[in-house]
Amino acid sequence: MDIVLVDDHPAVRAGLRGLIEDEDGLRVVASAATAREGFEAIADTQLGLAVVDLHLPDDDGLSLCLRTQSLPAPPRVIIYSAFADAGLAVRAVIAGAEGVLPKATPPRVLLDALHNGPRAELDSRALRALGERLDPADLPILGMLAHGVDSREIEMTLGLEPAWLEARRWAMLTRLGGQSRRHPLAAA
Amino acid sequence: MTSPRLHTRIMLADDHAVVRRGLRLVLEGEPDLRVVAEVGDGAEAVERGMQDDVDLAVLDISMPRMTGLQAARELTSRRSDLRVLILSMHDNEQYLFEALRAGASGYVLKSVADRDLVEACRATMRGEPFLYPGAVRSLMRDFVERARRGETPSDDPLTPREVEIVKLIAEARTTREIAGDLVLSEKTVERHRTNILAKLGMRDRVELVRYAIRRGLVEP
Repeated sequence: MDIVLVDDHPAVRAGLRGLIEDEDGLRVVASAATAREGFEAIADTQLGLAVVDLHLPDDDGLSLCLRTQSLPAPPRVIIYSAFADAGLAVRAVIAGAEGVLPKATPPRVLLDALHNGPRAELDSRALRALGERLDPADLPILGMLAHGVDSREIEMTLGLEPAWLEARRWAMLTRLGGQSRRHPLAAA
Repeated sequence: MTSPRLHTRIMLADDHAVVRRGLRLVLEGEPDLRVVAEVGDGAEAVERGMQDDVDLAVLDISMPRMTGLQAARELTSRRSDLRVLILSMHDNEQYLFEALRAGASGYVLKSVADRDLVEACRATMRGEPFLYPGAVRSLMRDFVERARRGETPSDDPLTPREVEIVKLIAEARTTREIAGDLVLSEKTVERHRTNILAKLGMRDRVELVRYAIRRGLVEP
């Protein structure tokens, strides 16, 4: 499988590349430090997998992910973040990502997730909490995305134009905002 | 060191295995640098860094149990021959000043670690400081400001032990856990807590947590 790495930290890129290159069936075809370079690299790689850092110097990883979903051959995207929590997992699904991997993920688990997808269930409380902040008209879209229904099927089921569905996904991400990253100590 | 060694023996401390691997790849491309140890948190870094087969400790600034800054302080006070570099994702003056106060001889930004880390290791082993260009500007500006105000650099109001306790409180550890970790009685921990709040003029844990974030003791 061809993988594109997008992370602004060279040590992370080098570490992931080293890890992936020792693994059969996976190879890194490009790496990028910014969302702009990352988008170009992903667009050049047909139907690959992109591992995208949440915080990039010129944009956030979720926006990059959603932009790649309207490419002719949308890639699988995994969001890789030091700040992974249940809310981020929901936002990642809206952006069209397969899931979120925390940066603390042990190497073996990380490689399995690259092969098979992160396969984590969304937290239902986080889903409800974020759903309450959305336009109620968008909830069916959120529900289907959360159940892994692909975009074409959502468009057909709800009778939406592709451009309209994409616009709703941007609107949902905007509403949930970058600031929804909850402070790990906030509950204390 | 009595006889010059052919290579510098490095301990890498970062809580992310992928980052350690990447740093190792960056360093081991160089014939004069060798990674002899990897650890995943600050407390382990202190333990491993006390052994004399390590010449240079490269410490990530934010790690669990003990931050890179706390580990740096501990290591440089207990092993005067050990060199320390702080690796940080924050281009931030306060962290930089703290790193230098903690005895680090350099501050390297993670975003340019591939370019700067090798040079920083070499500079440090030559006994020279390593700072990225923005850091030098910050230090000079701070120095000039202080001089203009006729100030001498103020000392940390908290003792290193108190700083350690602030971090653990901010990590939501209970008094009992902190007492266990630091081998103190719960009463002593309570007393430290009261003193810390009084010194900082704060009322509660919430304010203390904010303070801990500002000082880089815990991640926001």
